[in-house]
Amino acid sequence: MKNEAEVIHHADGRAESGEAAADLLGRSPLDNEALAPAARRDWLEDFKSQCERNLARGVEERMRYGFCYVYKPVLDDADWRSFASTSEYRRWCRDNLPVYLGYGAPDQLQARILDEGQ
Amino acid sequence: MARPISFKREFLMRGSSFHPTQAQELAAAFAARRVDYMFIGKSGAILLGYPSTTQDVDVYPRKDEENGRRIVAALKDLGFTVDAQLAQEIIRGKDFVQIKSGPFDIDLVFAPDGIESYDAAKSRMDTTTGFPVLNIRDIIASKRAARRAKDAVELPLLEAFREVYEKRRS
Repeated sequence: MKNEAEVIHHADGRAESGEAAADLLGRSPLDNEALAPAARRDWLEDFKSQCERNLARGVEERMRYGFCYVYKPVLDDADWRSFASTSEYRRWCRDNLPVYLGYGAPDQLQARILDEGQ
Repeated sequence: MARPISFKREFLMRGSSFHPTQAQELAAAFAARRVDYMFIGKSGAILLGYPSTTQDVDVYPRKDEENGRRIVAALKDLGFTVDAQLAQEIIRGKDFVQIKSGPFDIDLVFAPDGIESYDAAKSRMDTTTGFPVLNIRDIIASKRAARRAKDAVELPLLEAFREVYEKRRS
């Protein structure tokens, strides 16, 4: 799928569209099947560099940047809950949480990603 | 239908008492009570150096009653409200216990997806950070087995992190 509808207008009059715009919008290229393999590799290399930088940090610093609270509707609205099995918990998440939180079943593309490397 | 967000819950309890050294506090309290456990999930990966964020601490404790009693004591030490029913659920070792009644959120996952046994996982445990953390390969296997939509976004990144992490350690 081309991202032709996405156009980024710069202050100097330049405009970016397609993959460049998608990148600028912060969209993960891993989500974009049409992304050229070379761009995908570049993006992964950037992420690996980020991993290197984070590994150079101490554990306390990793915690400082890595733990932050964001309210999640429904999920955060009880003091506690327990489940007899992990699959029961997954089912509860699928049935009760808003889809956008991502606790639901994967779609076709997501399932393929989950199956990769098995 | 989702319940409305209470002012107390979102702003008072979370906003004022949350701070980022929660894993450190938990580790200290669990060590003091001799809880047998490992960090698991994204919080475990973050301790290892995975550059991402999460809001809760996921813990994989050994499933036995004595360990359950130790967890209850440690959670109370940390300031969690643990009523009699919750204590029973932890001691009985319900497979998944999610607790949001304390200074931070914690998931006790007694039976994580994709992990065959506690002892086998513990034999591969990563202690390089000073914390007991599930091996990065087991964290990935567990996320893959959970088969949630959000894990499809996370997995390629976790695999990339694993490559860097293992290369750095070899």
